[in-house]
Amino acid sequence: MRPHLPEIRRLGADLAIIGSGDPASAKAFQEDLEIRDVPVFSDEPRRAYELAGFCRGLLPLLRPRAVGNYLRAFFSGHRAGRKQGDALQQGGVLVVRRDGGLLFRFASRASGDHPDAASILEALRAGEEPRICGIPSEGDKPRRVRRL
Amino acid sequence: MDRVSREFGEVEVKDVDGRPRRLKESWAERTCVLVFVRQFG
Repeated sequence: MRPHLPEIRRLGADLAIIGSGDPASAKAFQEDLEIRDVPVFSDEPRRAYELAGFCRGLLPLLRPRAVGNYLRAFFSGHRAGRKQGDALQQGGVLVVRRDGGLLFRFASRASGDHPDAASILEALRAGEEPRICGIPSEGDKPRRVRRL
Repeated sequence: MDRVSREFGEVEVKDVDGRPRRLKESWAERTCVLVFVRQFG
């Protein structure tokens, strides 16, 4: 997402990152990625993840797509460091307007799932038109997460 | 259009200095792309 930050800002939006690790981990993450101008927040209770309907459990780690994602990252030179947060929690992306309108939602179904950045930028350009990807949103109701 | 719930906006998170913040502050002034990562590592 970082390479797209200038375009995100040019479109009048901003970026924030939320993780399930503690604030010290969040700070180290911010410093390691040299993104001091991007707010990074810690949600250790994972309440925001739960309300956003993001998956948690073993299955997302074991899906074939997750294995493929790991291998692709590994052979690209990415090496996982010490984990900072809940290893079973999957992430996602929300694009929220000032009035709380949800322009875009993506929920990872397997480890390593990421939305196409172009889709996010398209949603920002569209502005008024919502675009929901990944697991469909059910409005304000969080999805039930099957725990393994 | 779907909207995030009030409850979601009121979720308390902590910034990198450990200060409590409400999630809704992130989109208070402009549209915000919220990226939820699995872990910080």
